[in-house]
This record gives sequence, structure tokens and C-alpha cells, in this order.
Amino acid sequence: MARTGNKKNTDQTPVVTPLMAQYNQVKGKYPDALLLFRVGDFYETFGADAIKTSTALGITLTSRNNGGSDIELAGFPHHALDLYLPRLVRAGFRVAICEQMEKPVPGKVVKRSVTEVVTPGVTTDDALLVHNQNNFLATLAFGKNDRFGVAFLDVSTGEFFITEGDTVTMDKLFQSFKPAEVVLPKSRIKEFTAFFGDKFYTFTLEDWIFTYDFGREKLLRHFQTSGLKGFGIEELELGQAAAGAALHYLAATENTQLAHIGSISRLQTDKFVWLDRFTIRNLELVASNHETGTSLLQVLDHTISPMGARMLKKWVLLPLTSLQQIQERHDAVDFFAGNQDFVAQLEPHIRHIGDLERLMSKTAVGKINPREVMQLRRALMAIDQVKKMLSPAALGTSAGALLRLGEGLNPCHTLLERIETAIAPDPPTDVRKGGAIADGAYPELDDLRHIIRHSRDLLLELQQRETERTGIQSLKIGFNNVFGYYLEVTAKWKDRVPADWTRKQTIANGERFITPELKDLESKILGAEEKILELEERLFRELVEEVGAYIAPVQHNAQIIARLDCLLSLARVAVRQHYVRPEMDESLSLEIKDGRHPVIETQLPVGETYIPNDVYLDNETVQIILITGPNMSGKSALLRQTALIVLLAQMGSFVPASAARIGLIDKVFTRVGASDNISGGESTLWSK
Amino acid sequence: MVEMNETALIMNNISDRSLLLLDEIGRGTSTYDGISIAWSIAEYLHDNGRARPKTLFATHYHEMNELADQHERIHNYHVSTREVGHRVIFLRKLSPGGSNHSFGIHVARMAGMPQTVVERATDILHTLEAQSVDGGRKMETKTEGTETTTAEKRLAPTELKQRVKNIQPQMQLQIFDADAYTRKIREELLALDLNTMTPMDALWKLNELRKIAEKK
Repeated sequence: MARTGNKKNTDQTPVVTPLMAQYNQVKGKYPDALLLFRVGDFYETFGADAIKTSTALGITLTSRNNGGSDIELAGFPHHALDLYLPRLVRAGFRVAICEQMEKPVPGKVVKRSVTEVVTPGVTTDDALLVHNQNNFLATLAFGKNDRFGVAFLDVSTGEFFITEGDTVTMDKLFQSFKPAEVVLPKSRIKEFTAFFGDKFYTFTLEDWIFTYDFGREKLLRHFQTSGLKGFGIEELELGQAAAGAALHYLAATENTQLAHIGSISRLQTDKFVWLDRFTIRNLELVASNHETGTSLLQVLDHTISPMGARMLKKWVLLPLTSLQQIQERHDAVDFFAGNQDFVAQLEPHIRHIGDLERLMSKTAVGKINPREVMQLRRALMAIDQVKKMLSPAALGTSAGALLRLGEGLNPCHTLLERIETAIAPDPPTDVRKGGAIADGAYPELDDLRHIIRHSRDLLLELQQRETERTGIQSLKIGFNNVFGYYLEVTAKWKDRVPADWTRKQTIANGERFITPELKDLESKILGAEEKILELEERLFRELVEEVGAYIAPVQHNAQIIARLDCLLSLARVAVRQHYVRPEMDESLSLEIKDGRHPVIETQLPVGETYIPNDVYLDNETVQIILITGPNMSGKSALLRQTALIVLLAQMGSFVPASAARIGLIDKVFTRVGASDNISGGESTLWSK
Repeated sequence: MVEMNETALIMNNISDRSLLLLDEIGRGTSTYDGISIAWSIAEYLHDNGRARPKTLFATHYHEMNELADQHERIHNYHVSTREVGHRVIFLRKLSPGGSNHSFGIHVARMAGMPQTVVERATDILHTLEAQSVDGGRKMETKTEGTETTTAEKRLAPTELKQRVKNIQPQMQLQIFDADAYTRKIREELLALDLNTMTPMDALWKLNELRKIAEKK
């Protein structure tokens, strides 16, 4: 702990309170993080952390006199965490949250430990995540001769993939997936900045964490397998090193519940069209280069689920090179574009599904709340409907690709029923508020609730019963703080008191008794409230654990729904923008009739139409087309629309043309001598 | 130089299935460097013997059109335009054949460049073009409403230098003249002794300065 000011009495050991001693010890373990230290109802920060926190959040910086040392202090009430945590992380801080791990006992320092370290790349916090974007952590292992292994991990969705390649490949991947945080070996930070720039949020770990042996061991232990062949990454040594470092980093940030990261895959770059980073940028595939510009993704994205939106971005960045896969997508788009009634029925179901991927990640880390469990139930019900709509009975047997998607869906009926019986129809978001668990699911809970709801009735019942049994007409039930509930009998009826009553008190005109039944009822009533909350929490936790067993099938559902959503989105664009299905083959030629620029055509002023153009290219006769013409005449637009039409086709989309035949393309390279804002309709000369 | 390194990277990675978009390659260097670089890249893509990537090459160097004569798989296209009076209409239609005219000046007008600059630029362009005709080069003069489709043989470097020398230095003189008045006003201002001046003196002086400015 940095101390401000110099002490004159150096011989005197500074008095550190037990609380501060504990703080210093915890802080020592997380020197890089801003430590939020829970003290009662507040999260407190001290010293340098307090200065940073007060500046970042605009809260008051005070100081606490701790045995002679004035230490800075800034804190906020615990319920403000949801508000302040995202702001701290967005301000670029890594935040360690230290909670009280037991109920406070006077005279003793409460046990505390860090439950979570939130960093830009490692978070499941809704407030820090953008619903239609992945939040990737990237880890980078450095090899020899310009080789790298890289792992991308989204802890909020469970996606985990690796690949290897040279600087150019890495640069392209970073451009495409825009990791929220890059973790790399300590000794390589200078190289990293030189290669990839200083725009990324980086964090460094010791070099030995990025080694093959360490990484492989981590992976085998995490996936509980004896090898990695099943994931197709056995021979990727640098990739494994990177992946292992990613898992290590999660552990170091106290993310230990990782059941939702059930698989790792290899990003096979040869299965996708190679787009160099200039292409991604110049074609404005996922982001425009200008504030007012529109990207291709924006034109294509009519998805109706967060999973779909995230997947579509990947489709745009990773167009396919397999004829069969491309045609499967075209088939599905064709079907949806031609069956609008079917689409109109299917869409509401997909809308109801919500963000299944992130629900599953929350389940794995135990952060799912009762209302979200109900959302899961609604999602599973919707999936059941979607599955029915994609069955041979509904579709016929010709729609092959869609039938396969339907087959893959698993509505998890057992889980559905389980949630239905266990969770109340309109549960609170916080299980500690009570009322999350449904009536009728657990006899023990029902009894307790019955007691609370009917305590007065039960007492009356008992009073009546005892009156009838004994014939004591003046029998009354009362309550005091000394011995709780009692039966009161006036002196007149004293002789009728049965032997099983215990006398507790004699008063002026009568006597007070207790019975075992009354005491039993009393303890039930008094303890019920507390017990109900404890029981509900326990039952809910058990349920969440059960849901945890379904992570893999539900994630699989999420993937299929995301695919469907993307295909529906592409069909919607095809209909709205009058696209046609491109004919695909493995020839080396390219023929586009009346091609249009998919983005510019949507941005024209009313009344103007885009002038379409034909392009033919092959390897034998017209390999190179040299286009001359004045600036502003549309040369750049023509170049780009040709590439965009090819890429759209290979993403599985229809294309803006009257006809197109496309021999598969494997790489697209772009070089521009000057940067133009193409979708904004401006050329270089204009912007100067 | 960055551009060149990155272009080299393409050269090493192209395949028969690749698609290349080259837009104004060589821009940012001097004209002759630019043309040379663009020319050699186009030749390489055509003649490398390893792969024939499909390429769309946009350039405002009309000189490049000659490439098509020497290379069978290179074809010239141009984006057609129509000139109506002083204005240009971009038809945005791709047609076979090269083009011969840059409309930079018209674009400048559209972009809101000052009228005097646009007018002077038009003068200079006419001077250069007139000499081109004098020099015996064939050039199709455009009439209102015709599309430009024929390729112009452009100037050789030495010729261009010569012609630039012939441009009348009208603009420079104007600037110099303006400068003379400015300098006079400046001298007058610096000669003033503000401590001894009465408000009335100051007004008289101001009137004088204004007269100098009015002479211009």
C-alpha cells in the first residue's frame, strides 16, 4: 500500500487496523486491479485506487485516519455496483471485487475474498456487453519465424476457437474479431505494438504461461479428455499454447465455473475467403470508415435475435469457399424468400427465444436469475414450435438443409417440465426477494408458505379444537415476548385444564398454559419467513445446477436458431432489395449482369436510381479490366460492387444484380491509392 | 512506401481464384512514378506465369490504356461522362474502350472551390490543350452532349515541362500586386507613434489608410 506523506517517528511501527491489514493482503494478490473492498453495505477503495475511482466515477474522495496514517478513501453503496462497475471497466480499469464471505460477528474481522475480476475481455455483465456483438478475449502465443498461435474466447457465449498464422493473418483476425482485450507474453509487448498498433487493450502474463506443455495440460484438464484430436487442434502447438493461456487467464480472474466452454474449435482459414484487412476496411464490410457511412453488415442485418446478429457478422467476415455449403445457404434463402407466409409464422417464435447463448453462460457461472430461467422456458417452448415447423410433416422432404436444422433442435422437454413445475409464473429477478419457486413443487416449502399465509387461521383452529375438547368457553390464545404463544384460561375454568398442558404463568384472574402443538406452531410461524428464503435460495441453486446439465444441447439450439435467423435476414434483404440467386460453380470465370452496389443503392436520395453495370472476368480472355475515367465518375464504386457481389454470394446471400454466375473466389485483395468515403457518396477530391 | 510493401504482399499470395481490386494505385507519388508503378503491377499480374488473378484496375492515368494493346488479357473500359456546357454529367456506365479526359476541374467546381481558382485552372488547361493540338497530336474535340470514348495520346514528360513554361503568369502578378498594397499599409501602421496621437489624428490616419486600400 502506497502511503502518502513521510512519517517523522520512523522508529514507531505504524498502527494498521486489522481491516486494513486484510485489505493490504488482498490488494497484494491483485496489484494490477482496482480493488473494490466490501465493508458492510459499501464497496470501498483505498489509496491510489481511491483516487482513480473518485476521478472515474465523480464520487467524493475522503480520507480515513487509520492509526495516524491518512489514507485516501472512496466508496459507494453496494447496490450501486451495477451502475459503477461498467463505468470503471469502460474507463479501462480491471476491477477486482472482494466480498464478505461470512456474516459479521462483533469483535472479529469478517472473512473476505475476491469473487471476480472483471476486465474488458472477461465479463458476463449485461451492462458491459453489447447484445449483438461478441466480446472476445484474445490470447497470443509467439512462435519462431513469424508464426503465431491465437485463441479467441467469448466467456459470455462460450465460443472458443484457435488458429495459427503469420503477422498478416493475425492482423486480419484482430481487425475482423476486434477483441476487447489481448493477453500476451510480458516480453513481447513491444513487438505486439509494433506489429498490430496500440489500439488494443492489452494485458501481459509471464512468458511461461504461453508454452505448449502448459497450455496442452490446461486444455486436457479443462475438457477432461486424453487428447485434442476430437477438436481438430491436435497439431496446433502454438494454438494450444494460446488457448491454455486463455484458460489460465480466466482462472486468474476468478472465473472458475466454465461449464459453458464445452468445446474448442479450429478456425480453418482455408475454408473461408481470404480477405485482407484492406478489403475488410475498404469494402466497409462490418463498419463504415465514416461516421455517417453505412456498412454492408448494416444493410444485411435484419436479424431478430442477438445470437443471429452476432453470427451474421461472422458470416460477413468469413464468406465460404465450399460450393456445397454456399448452395445450402442459397437453398434456404430461396425457400424463405419464396414462402413469406411460412416466414411470418416462424419469426415470432424466433423473437421469443432471446439470447440463449448468454443465458447458458450465466447458468454456468451461477448468475442466472429466476426471471431468466423463465425466459429459458419460453425459449425452449419456442424452439419446440420451430422444430415442428421445420419437420418433414410441415415442409415436405425436399427442403434438405432446413430439415437438418430442424432435426438438430432439441426442445429439452424434461428441462422444460422441470422449470415449469419449479418456478413461479411471474418470479422476481432476485431470488432473495422470495416467491421465485412455484407452489406445489416442494411439500416442505408449501407447508412453510401455508403457515405464513394461514397462521391466524391455524391458531384459531387450534383454539377451537382445544375449546371443544376441554369445554373451556373462555379459552383465548395470546402472545408475549417472554414465552411466545400461550393459552389463557380464566380462574372459573381452571379445573377443566387437561394434563397435557404446561402451566407457564399465573395472573390475577386466570392462568396461562402452553401445549407442545402450540409451541410447534409457534416455532413454525416464527421461523417460516427465514426458512422460506433459505429454502427458496437452495432450491433455486439446485435447479440452476440441473439446468447446467443442459448447457451443451441448449448451446447447440442457440447455434441453429442463430443460423435460421441469419438465413431469414438474408431472405428479407433479398426480397426487399430485389436480389437474385447467383449461380455458383467451380469455374474460373465471373459474370455479373446489371450489378449494383448493395450499400450505395440503399443510400441514394429519393427519385435517384443506381446505374447498374455488367462485369465479365475470366482467366483466359478478360483477366484484367482497366477502368479509366474521371474522378467521381464511379470507378471505385464499380470495383467494390463487383467484390461485394462475389462476397455476398459466397456468404450465402442473394446478390444485387439481374443475373450472376460466379466461379468460386478464394481470396480478395484490395489496394486503394487514396481513401474514399464511398458509401457517403464522396470521393477523395470532395473530402479534401 | 507502405503502399508498395503491401502491394508486394499481394504479389506473393495471388492464385487463379483470387480477385484483385486496385484503385488508383501509385497515387501519392509523382505522376511519372505513379504511372510506372501502376504499369508494372498490371504487367506482373498479366505475365507472372504463376497465377492469373481476376483484376479490376481503376486509374485516372489514361496512359495506362496502351497496356491493352500489348497484353491480350488486359481490356480497356471507361466510365462514360457527358459534358453539357461547363458542367459534367457522370453517367456511371461502364463501356468498352479508354477515356481521354480528366474532369478534375469540374469536380473542383462542384466541390465549391473559389470561382477565380476554377477559372484560372480552366485557362491553364486550355493553354496546355491548345499546344497539344499545335504539336500535331491527334485529339478529338468534344461537342456538347457527346460521350467521350476515344483514347487521347498524352504528353511526353519533356513536352509537358515545355508547355508549363508557356503558361502566362497572370495569377502570380495579381498576388504580387496585392502584396504591394499590403506592404504599404503595414509600413504606415508601424510608423505610427500611438503615445503622441490624439483621437482626431487617429481618425485622419485611418482615413488615409483606407484610401490606400481603395486604390487597389
